[in-house]
Amino acid sequence: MSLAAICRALDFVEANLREEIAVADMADAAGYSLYHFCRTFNGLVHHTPYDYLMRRRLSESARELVETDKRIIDIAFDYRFNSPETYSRAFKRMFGTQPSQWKEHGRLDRRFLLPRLTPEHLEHVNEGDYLKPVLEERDAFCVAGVMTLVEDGGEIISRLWEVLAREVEGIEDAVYYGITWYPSGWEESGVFYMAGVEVEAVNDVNLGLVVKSIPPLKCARFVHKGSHDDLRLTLDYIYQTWLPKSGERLAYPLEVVSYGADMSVAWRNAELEVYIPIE
Amino acid sequence: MEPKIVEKDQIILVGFSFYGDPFSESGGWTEENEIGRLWRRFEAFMIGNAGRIKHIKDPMVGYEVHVWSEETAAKGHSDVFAGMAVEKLEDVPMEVLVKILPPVTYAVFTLKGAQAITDWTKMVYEEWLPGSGYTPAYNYNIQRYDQRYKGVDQLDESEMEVHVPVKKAGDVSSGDL
Repeated sequence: MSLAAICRALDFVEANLREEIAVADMADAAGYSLYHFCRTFNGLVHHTPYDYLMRRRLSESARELVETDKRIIDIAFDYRFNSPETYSRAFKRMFGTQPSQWKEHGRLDRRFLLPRLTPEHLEHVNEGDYLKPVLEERDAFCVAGVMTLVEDGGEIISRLWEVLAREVEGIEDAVYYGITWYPSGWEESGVFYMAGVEVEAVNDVNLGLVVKSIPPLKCARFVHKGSHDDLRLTLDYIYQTWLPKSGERLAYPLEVVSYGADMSVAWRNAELEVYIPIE
Repeated sequence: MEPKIVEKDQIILVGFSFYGDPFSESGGWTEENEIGRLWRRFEAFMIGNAGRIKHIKDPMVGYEVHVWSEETAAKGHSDVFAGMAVEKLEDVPMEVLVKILPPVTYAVFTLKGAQAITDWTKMVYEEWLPGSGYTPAYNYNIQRYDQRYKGVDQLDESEMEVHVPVKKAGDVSSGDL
């Protein structure tokens, strides 16, 4: 079973998103019989080959829809849909709205686009236990910390954690959380990010911190293993593979990552928990 | 790997059927793909309904039939039937389906151990068939499991058979399904 062969098929898909290709052509690119290709692909990618092809076409078409002036009908035919109606149905099935709505608002929600899967994605999803989330009810809880609007990730988030570490010095057994809220239009505005610790009550909090109270939630809890940098791969899996396959729907545009009690360990290479609120 | 060439009479199967990509995972909730689920469904029925299927030829022999069509090449979708052979049909329970395979010549390959998870279809259809003097007689094949098959967790000690319906090259007497 070869990851390299599957990656040849993924490359082939990328090069031919606008061409009339079949799953049998993907198998040829991998160098396998159709039967063995489907067996291997499903086992490693966790999408059927056809599902992957359609989701990649829809994701790229959505990008063009929002980023260019092309007409919907032209985009539909470019990406090998038989008619604008077929395209709209497939689009709605994947994104929950009509293509015309996305075009009108000029908004792209990257969380829901299937990225071109890389060898890193495939290696990551095939070594982790987070493939099978636990569905559970979470009680309400309060988090005290620092929060900001994050436009381009990275640096500002590290600074939030540094500030938090100073402010909560001396708190024993704190459980650390990274909470992301995706406001509507977040691709332009950025996301709200909070670095915090769980607290019993609102009134025992240092005045320099803000408190966020999270209501009781029905959640899918995933375990992320590996480096913090790879959290992106886990989130891609959750939004792009698990969510559509499970048939669950997001209740809120909220991600809660629990780092446990020792931030210094969690940030490097340990187990994190990711909570996604579902309906 | 050389097959045995065997003439077979019509085969009557009772069991369950799936259409789609048989290797897709069922909603991400179990580790099984659709073929696994199909077999679990059949086994559960047989346990709960012992005796309702009459004239079973050999209760230790399971047949998995893959039938392909244009949608197989385009989308990876095929029809998969899992079940057992019966001598004749009598009082077939409503819950099960019947599949009748035509009398035909089969090339029978025995797959040992890990051969079962190698690309054996490529070996059969792209390597053996072109030089064999045969062509496919129908667009299906059979995976036949008996006592020699111990399960995926004991693949090394397992054997299974693949039956490929064939006709002499140039023979036009049988056609595609």
